[in-house]
Amino acid sequence: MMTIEAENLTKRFGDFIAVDSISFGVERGEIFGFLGANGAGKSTAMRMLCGLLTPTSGRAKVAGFDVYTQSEQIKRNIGYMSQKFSLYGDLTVGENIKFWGGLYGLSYSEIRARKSEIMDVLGMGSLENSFVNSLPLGWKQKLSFSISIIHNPQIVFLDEPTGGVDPLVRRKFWEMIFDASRRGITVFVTTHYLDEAEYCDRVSVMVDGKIRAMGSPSELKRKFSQEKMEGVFKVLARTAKRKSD
Amino acid sequence: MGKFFAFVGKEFRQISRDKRSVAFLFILPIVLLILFGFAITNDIKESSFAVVDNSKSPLSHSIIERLNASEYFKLYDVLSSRNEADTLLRRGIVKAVVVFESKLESGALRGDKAQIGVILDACDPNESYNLSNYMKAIISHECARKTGCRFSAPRIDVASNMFYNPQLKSAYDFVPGVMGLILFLICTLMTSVGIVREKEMGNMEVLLISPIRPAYIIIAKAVPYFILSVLIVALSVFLANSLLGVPIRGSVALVFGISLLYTLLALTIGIMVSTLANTQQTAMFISTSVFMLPTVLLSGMVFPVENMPKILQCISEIVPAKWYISALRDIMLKGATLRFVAGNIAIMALMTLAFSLVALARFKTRLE
Repeated sequence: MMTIEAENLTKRFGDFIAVDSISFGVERGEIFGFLGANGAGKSTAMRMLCGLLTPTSGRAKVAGFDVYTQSEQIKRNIGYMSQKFSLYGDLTVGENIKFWGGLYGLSYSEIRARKSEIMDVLGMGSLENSFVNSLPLGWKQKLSFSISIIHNPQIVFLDEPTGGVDPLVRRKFWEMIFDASRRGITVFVTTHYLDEAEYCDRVSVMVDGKIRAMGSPSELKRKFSQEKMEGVFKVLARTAKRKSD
Repeated sequence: MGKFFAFVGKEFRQISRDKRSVAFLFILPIVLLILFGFAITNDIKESSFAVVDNSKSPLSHSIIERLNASEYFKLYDVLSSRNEADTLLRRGIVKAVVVFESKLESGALRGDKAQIGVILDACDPNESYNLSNYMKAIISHECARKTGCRFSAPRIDVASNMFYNPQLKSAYDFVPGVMGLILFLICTLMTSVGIVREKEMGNMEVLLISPIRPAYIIIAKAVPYFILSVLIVALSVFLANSLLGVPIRGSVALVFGISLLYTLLALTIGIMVSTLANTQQTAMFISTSVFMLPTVLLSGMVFPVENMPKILQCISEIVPAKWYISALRDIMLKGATLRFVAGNIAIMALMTLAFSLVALARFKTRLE
């Protein structure tokens, strides 16, 4: 069953076509990599799927809900983690968990249960009362991810979640993503680290608002006769006419 | 509603973390009120003066006595020469010297120009201006009393003293002004910066993707500042009344009612500013330059609006604080009733409505 379906999804800003008639589907529990250079239209596409932007034309369903008419239901069934850091540095770890849990409508006892679970998984038991600002970036990102799925969403959207951390920390972060996927959470992730693209079940590559290639990393590498996803990406990116911003 | 309260809780926690800002918010009104309240009253109390009395007449004696008996002046010494007076003035021991010429009495009785000179240490022009006016008033009054109605005080503009009536009233006037400024500071400046901070940090997008309604986010951000404002209104009114002795001749409920309306107005302005600005700096700039400067300069808080050029008077009509400050003044000092300030209330309510419509329109387009 598809948890995300898009058909000819398009977004125009005046004369500019940010997203040009893209169609794709993501299966439940799949890790779907959404690649593209800066300015290729990734963020715009993602915002439409999250219910933040109304599409100009086309059709899309997220978690079974229509993006035009049911954005409220969509919001309740998805998690989101942004490349820009979304935890409050002047609140403690525990307070952040409490706040975001409350924002997603969790009850007090649910929040408590989820909090101890998160602390256990991250091995941060003693840090509940530390300010988030005092944590290293890698821990912040792991915490941020844990919080983005605190309400057990059907889908989690990750917008360049691993920006700025070293490969070792990134690898650990991806283990958390695999774990979420095993629990049945669909992961929709944008990244510009192409080694990370290899971890995805399937990837799509966006160029100038269009999806130019889609498939599993091994399929794409075979198709473009490249050894690494980086090569695939370079071949496709070369065809871009839009300037990246 | 649970989501809303989760948000309000988070706001309170964040504001309370910033202890310096909270302390600042409470200390600022106290300091401003005390400063302006006492600074102005002190200026005209027991200023020391010296006398060079060349006439040694009953008239000069009675004038000296009168001056010394008033609460504004205190006789330092009677000197024998002008030179001594200069020294005292230069050292700052006395603030004024009164010189009586030798033919004072006879001249005055003949209706000639009497020879009384007042020399002032005018390092502080405002203070000296006050002193000279008080001094002239007392001297001319005493002259007139002693010599009968035939005597018209020489070089003393009695009429100007009737216009110039600061007494303690300037201090009283300042209290509503301080309240207008501080409420504006909290509600407009801090609210707009607080909301824009979420945008600038990239949190707003995450918040908008969460199931909480956008309007709740904005209201939840405003709630803590609203509550802080109520506390500060209470504190300011209490301080003004108990410490500075500013009377509350109208109803206390009306003072609070109109303060709450103004708080609401300032909050909607803050929210509107937050929809215009994308960075905290821009928000601060718009709040201070477009809204706060006019509040200080054109609201009648510091400079009386009546004395301004016509064009500035017109501009002052659209300064929100002006309507609050003048209403508050009328209620506190003149005991105005609801009916009397109904016009101010209507204008403030209209402004609130207008600003919230702009904010609403801007907020909707922002989401697209």
